[in-house]
Amino acid sequence: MDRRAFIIVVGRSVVVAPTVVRAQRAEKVYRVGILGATPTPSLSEAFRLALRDLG
Amino acid sequence: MPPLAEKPSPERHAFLQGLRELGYNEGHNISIEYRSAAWNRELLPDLAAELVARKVDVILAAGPQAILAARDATTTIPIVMIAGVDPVESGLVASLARPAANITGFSGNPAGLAGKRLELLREAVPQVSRISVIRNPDNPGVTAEWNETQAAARTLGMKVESVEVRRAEDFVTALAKMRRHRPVAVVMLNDTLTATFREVLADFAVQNRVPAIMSSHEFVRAGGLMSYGPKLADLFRRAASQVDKILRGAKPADLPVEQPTRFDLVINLKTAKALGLTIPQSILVRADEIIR
Repeated sequence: MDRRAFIIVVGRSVVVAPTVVRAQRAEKVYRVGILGATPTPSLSEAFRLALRDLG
Repeated sequence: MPPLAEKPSPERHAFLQGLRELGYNEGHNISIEYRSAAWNRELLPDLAAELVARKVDVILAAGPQAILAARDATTTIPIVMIAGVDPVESGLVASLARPAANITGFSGNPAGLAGKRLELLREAVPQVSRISVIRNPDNPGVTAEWNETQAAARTLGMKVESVEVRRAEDFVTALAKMRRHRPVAVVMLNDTLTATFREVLADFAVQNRVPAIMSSHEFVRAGGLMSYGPKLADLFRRAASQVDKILRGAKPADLPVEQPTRFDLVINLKTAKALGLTIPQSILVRADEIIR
């Protein structure tokens, strides 16, 4: 390998390396939505107390 | 359905744990948007629309009402459902093999489960000859379970009384009716409505010295005698795997709806003692969890 070829190879790797790092940092962040319809425990508790009041 | 969108819940934990095992870490390569309608189901369409507007990659919907809201909000964003009921009977999907263009997930109780639940009750409490079955007749998703319960009761020689609840207010009359009829045991068919009252029923059962069974282990933690049903944490862990497949490009239409495969038998021995029951060893050795 002559000196010029060496410089080109090194130069290329210097150019390529930051791109790889950037690609890793910009990894896609997936977004998951969670949808639920749950009665809250407090409501069940409120009902229980209401029942107790009714005897 | 379990309080998936409320925190903290074991189901949410199982889902997040499942995601972590597949290499997803919240705040790093995955972000999660929680939307819960709590008791106000009429908010669900707006919450589903919010998720669609925020362009989430996939929606995990738990419970029939949430699934319907998600289905109505988008025909393109993939939906992973945890139905809790029969999703075909409930009209959530056309069939288990070919659910819909953008829906896959998990069905509720598989065939045979309701019969097995009654057999376990009979084995735990052999003198059970008459049962009251609390159910929501307006929920087509539990019809198959109800039919199966009736058939199993016939086979086991048990008389069945149907106690119907359509809305929260009905529980007052339902409990009064059961107090009059004094059932030997109570079976509650799980849906979003009845699940809310598992603590109420557990209290009622102990006060009236009646053994009671339903599908959710939460019921037994609340003081009910026993439960037999799908292992929810397992379903939510598997839901993470379906979410992963979708994030990696799989189409929901190519992922058939899956069935629960692992089941939990949970027995509360404190309650058994309060009811004056001795649970046979033959059934205790099969329990996945015993509360002492």
